[in-house]
Amino acid sequence: MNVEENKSKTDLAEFYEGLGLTGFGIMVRTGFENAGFEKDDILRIVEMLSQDVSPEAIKSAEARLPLGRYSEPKTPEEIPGIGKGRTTELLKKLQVLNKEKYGGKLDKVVLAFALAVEAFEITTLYDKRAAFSQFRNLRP
Amino acid sequence: MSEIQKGIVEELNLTFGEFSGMGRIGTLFFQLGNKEKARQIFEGLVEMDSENADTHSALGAVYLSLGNEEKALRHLVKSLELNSEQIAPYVNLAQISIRRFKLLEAMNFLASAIVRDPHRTHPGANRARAMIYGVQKIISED
Repeated sequence: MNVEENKSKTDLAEFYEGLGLTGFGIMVRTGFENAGFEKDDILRIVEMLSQDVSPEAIKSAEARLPLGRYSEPKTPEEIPGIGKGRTTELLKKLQVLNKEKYGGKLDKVVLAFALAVEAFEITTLYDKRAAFSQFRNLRP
Repeated sequence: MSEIQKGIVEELNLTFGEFSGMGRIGTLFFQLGNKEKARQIFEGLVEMDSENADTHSALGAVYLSLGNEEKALRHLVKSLELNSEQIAPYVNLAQISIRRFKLLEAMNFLASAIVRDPHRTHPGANRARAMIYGVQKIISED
């Protein structure tokens, strides 16, 4: 195997790892080996679908994939959603409803809105462990 | 929607845009690597509206990323029951099938995703195309 082929195989493995499919090659090979009488159907579908695969499509998929990386940290002003004021208002209403009318049945909903308010109240939405891990990957 | 869910939406005077805004915050937590908080947000949203296909799809994706395939399956299947034209759930279901060595099932899910994106612009469908590319390379090399 020459250097280019080796690099290509490494890139492919990393690419699928970024999809959350570590060991993609092994899983596909095992699935194909175990497929029995379905192998012809698999080959037919792959042949048909692969005609739809273009370099642009792969590039687009690569561009959108985090490949194990995470987005840049956000400041409260950059957070999409419904705004801090309205989120806080909804949280307070939910807390009252949960307590006085629904007997705790809205706990999960209250938690969701509390987390949304938290998103505005902390300086960034940085998950520090994820960020550290990301930067560690970038070290030479 | 249950009576409790209807009651919540009415009493909060919550708009569809605001509900979607909550979903975007959940997505942001996920993109920033905080999958647990993303899970909690989407679980809350599913509690508010159990008939929302997008929320079930998102929660399924989060569970998949957390390694909980059974819960992922439940929500991904539910999302497609509610709206079979979504693309992302098919791709995530294909991922589960590949992990379980069910290759034909995976190919059928990927086909369902790709056929819904004739203009090749949807990132989920392009992810499906990338997976097909990989499967083809692997099968043809053996």
